[in-house]
Amino acid sequence: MRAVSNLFRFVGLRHILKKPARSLLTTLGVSFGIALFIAIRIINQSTLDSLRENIEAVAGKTSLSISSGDAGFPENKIEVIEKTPGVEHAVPMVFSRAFLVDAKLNNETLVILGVDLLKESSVRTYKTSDQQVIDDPLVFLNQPDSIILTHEFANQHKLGMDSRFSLATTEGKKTFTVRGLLSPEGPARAYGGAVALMDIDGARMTFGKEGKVDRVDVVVQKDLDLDEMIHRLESALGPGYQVERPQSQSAAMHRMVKSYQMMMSFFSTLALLVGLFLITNSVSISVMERKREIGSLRAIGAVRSGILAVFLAEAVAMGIVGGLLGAAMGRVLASFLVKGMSQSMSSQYLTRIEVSHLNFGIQDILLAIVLGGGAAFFAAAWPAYKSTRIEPLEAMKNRDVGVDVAKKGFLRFSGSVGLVMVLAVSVSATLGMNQKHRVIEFLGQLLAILGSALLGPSLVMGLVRMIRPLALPLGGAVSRLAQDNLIRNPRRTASNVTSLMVGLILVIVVAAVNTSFRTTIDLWFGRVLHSDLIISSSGQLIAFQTQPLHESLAEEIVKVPGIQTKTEGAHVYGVYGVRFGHTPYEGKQLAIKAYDEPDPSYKYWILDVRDRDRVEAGGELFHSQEPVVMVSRNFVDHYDKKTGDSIELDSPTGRHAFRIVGVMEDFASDVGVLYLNRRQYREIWKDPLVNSFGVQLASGYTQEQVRANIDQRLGRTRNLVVTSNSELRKEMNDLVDRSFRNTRAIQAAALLVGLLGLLNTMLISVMERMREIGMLRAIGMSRRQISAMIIQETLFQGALGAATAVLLGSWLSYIWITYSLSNILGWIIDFYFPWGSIFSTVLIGILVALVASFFPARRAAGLEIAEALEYE
Amino acid sequence: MLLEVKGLKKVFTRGEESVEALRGVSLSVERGEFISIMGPSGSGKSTLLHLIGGLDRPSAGSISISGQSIETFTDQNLSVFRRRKLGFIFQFFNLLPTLSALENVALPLLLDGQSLGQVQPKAKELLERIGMGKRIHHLPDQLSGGEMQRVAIARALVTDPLLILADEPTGNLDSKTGATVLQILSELSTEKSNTILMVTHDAKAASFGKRVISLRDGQIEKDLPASQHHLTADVRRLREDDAGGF
Repeated sequence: MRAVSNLFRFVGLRHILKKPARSLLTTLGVSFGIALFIAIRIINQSTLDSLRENIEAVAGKTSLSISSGDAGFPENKIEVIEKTPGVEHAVPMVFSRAFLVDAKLNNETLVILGVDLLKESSVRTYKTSDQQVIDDPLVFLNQPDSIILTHEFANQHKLGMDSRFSLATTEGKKTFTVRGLLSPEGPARAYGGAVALMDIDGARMTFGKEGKVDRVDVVVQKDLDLDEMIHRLESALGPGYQVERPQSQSAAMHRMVKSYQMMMSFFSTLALLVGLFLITNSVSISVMERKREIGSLRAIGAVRSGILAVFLAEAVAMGIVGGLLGAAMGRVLASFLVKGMSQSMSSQYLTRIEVSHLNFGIQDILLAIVLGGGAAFFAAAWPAYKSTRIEPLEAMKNRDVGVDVAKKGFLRFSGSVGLVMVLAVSVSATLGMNQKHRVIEFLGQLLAILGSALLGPSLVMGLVRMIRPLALPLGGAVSRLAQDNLIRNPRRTASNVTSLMVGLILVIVVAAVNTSFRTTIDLWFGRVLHSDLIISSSGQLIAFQTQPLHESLAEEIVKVPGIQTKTEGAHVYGVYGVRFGHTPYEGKQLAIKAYDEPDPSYKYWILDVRDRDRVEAGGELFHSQEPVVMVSRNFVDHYDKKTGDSIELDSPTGRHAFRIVGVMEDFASDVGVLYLNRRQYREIWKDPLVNSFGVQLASGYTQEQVRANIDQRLGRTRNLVVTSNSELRKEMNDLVDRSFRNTRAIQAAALLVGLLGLLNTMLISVMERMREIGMLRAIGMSRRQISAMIIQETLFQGALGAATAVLLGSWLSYIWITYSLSNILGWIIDFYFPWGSIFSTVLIGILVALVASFFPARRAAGLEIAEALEYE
Repeated sequence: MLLEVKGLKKVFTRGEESVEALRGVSLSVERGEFISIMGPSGSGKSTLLHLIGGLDRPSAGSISISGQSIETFTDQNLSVFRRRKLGFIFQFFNLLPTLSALENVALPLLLDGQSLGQVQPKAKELLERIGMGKRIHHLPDQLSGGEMQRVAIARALVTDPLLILADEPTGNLDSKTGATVLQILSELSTEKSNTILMVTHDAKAASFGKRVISLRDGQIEKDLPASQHHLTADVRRLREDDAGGF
């Protein structure tokens, strides 16, 4: 043991310290990969913690919470709950997210807890600076515009006692007065302080929940079994109600954001993988350079295992330092990325997700160290093993740095292994094996990346050999020398570009996912969105993050001049309401879209039916007497249902069977989307609210005219926002772009690691050829020409890396998007080739190479002839 | 008998061609001898040294050092044997560039699991003995060629080896520095009874040995005491042979 530690201390560690620049480059490469991984982990964990903390803070002493979907349930059920044996307290709540509509506060939201202050103290504790409103709720209740804010929110928005501000309500804009300020305790800690209290009746009126509650929090008698209580309450309430522990609600939120978090984790793991290639490269180079040193050590008695241990320990040491650095960088990066990521999640899941604080602790640092060290160990394994194959006889030979022993055989071996992996993944994906088993799916993803990365260098070698006969006639003497340097040693060229190539593959995969998402959704939106104008309250319409409006508003909108109407019998077509919500199904939340029937002469363009005639399916959806539903393609995938089957849905009026009348495309949920006709929805869910109204323009009117008319008649009083078809389509594209904005950090990290890899290998390449460079200088090549030669050589390598990355990245994206992405994300996305990104990736590859060429070129040009010629 | 080599053969295969580097070499060496091995390029002298040093495996024959047949050793045992029983001096010194002179000398003992504290006095003493006492903390690139070779000699001695193997130890030094290095080797043999086997091209260098073995085409041509060896004639012939090679 002492022998190995001596060997590391006197040989390995010294080598790291002797080559600080290279050690730093390698360490930084690892740390960039780890930083991204840790940042994503911190954000993912903090998001879950925030969701849990919000739920716990609002839950207070609640043992069980009872709810029934977004639409709420009748308040008379409170009595049923109270009478259930074992229930000590049953406290109702109207829970709503309200949009602030003052000009300065536009689009900010407040979580409104509509509570019965007389009952609240049994589950939750509030403390205000002025205890009057809490101690004597009548003061509060006597003034229906009363609202209590948290100190934090009030301070942030420069509001104080008796300040007035406006919220969007189902009836339009309404002004409230601040009657109390909460200290940061209990529910006031939730949602980063963006929480407000209202009287439950006031909240009902404000948010269209008359006669309803959103949830009832139950405190059960001591020593009662909660499972038993869940059973009792479910039996008492009948189907359509969820009776859950607060922890189960956290778990449900976790399930909701899981797929997005998984995707980000997957991409960040890929960035880490790019870092691994940098280590493999670095250790390979080190073994190659130190061939004679290893021979000497072997000659004077070092055993093979000792040599292996030294190289592994060197890599692990750099990996650990890289891990530590990465942890620190990851914490900083997380603070930059957190806002964008929570916005992405909010947009994707059509619900508000905020991270109040980032949790970063010793476990993250330990994980970073273990990851850095572990990853470095695996990455260094092959070159370290090759180092043990160096015979002591190498000590007797003159320096022979040109032969890369660590890479010898590796490229052929790795190329074959990579090809087998790539083929195996392709076959397993096309046969659908990955969809059947989660393990195969995960392994498939890993093998696809690893296979591409292993196959890549062999492809570069092949490309170099292919262009060999073509390349020489091009360019002048310097250019020809640069090309010759690449061509005469394809193995070196291939290994030089590995890190950059893997980084660029990642860039292409991310770009392809982005393009495919954007194009699929844009094309779908183009098929289904035909309303000229869409009317909603302020907020983010595309994500359904708006205050729902009462359906009766349609009667006022239809009177606005310029809106096309058509009367058929008693029915007036012209304003089409859409209600968006969620409903539980087999433990998950499905999205519901309930539509008013559009004018049948438009042939139900809102329905992108995939399995039958759209008009027939639409006719059934809107005219069937029995409950019917249309389901999305991803619902069919997840639940193995088809047209003609029935599904049972729970609602406040009980459990109902719905016949599936068609399969359509919709991307509002990763679990599945249900289309209902709003007539049936209203009856079953007892919900008169809508999220938006679509209208067509009457002939002779322009969008601007009608928009002005709506603004003039309803805009100010009802706080309505009118969005045109093209604006909404743009919003949709922006939403997709926002969802992928953070993946740019992943692309940047991958490119940075690729750049470090190329820089590292080019520096070595210059060092290896010092004697040759000296000779070129001796026979008359100027410093400028040497520099140009190295720059051109690096640029060619960048182009080669990019070309290979395009080949492998395109394949990988196709396989991944076509066969795997729906399993991970839940949405079914068609593959669209990212032409624009392919072009920019090649440019980026060359640009990265240009940056990477600067130092090696300077170093080569700066060599003194005599010194270079004597170099061994 | 310290070293006994019997019927040693070594065949190298290059493509489809086989080259017999050694064709049945036998020799024996007593403790304390200083033997120079000479021969033209391709005569097999380096191959012989590599085989005796356990750096390569023979195609046939046996090598016994202090009664142990090293050709039967496993790779692991051979490493330990080299570390404890043999000392190597290379033409290109082969010092580790990141270690000081003292640490380079101590390296074989460090590889054997001893601590630097334990081995430091011995390494220091050896460096002082060969006139490097004032440069013990210098790194190889701060030393001249002669100084590097002296450090290499000290490294070869640090384990008190049974046999010191030197491969062209002066091949990379000027004649004056080379002579100093050879003088040190000669003294080690006469004063400390170290057994030294030195391969060299240089007849002058060979004359420092007590016994000179000439190899030609993989076989021993002459094995005589240095005094009986016609080194001047050999030098002439060596030059002719080398010229003929071009």
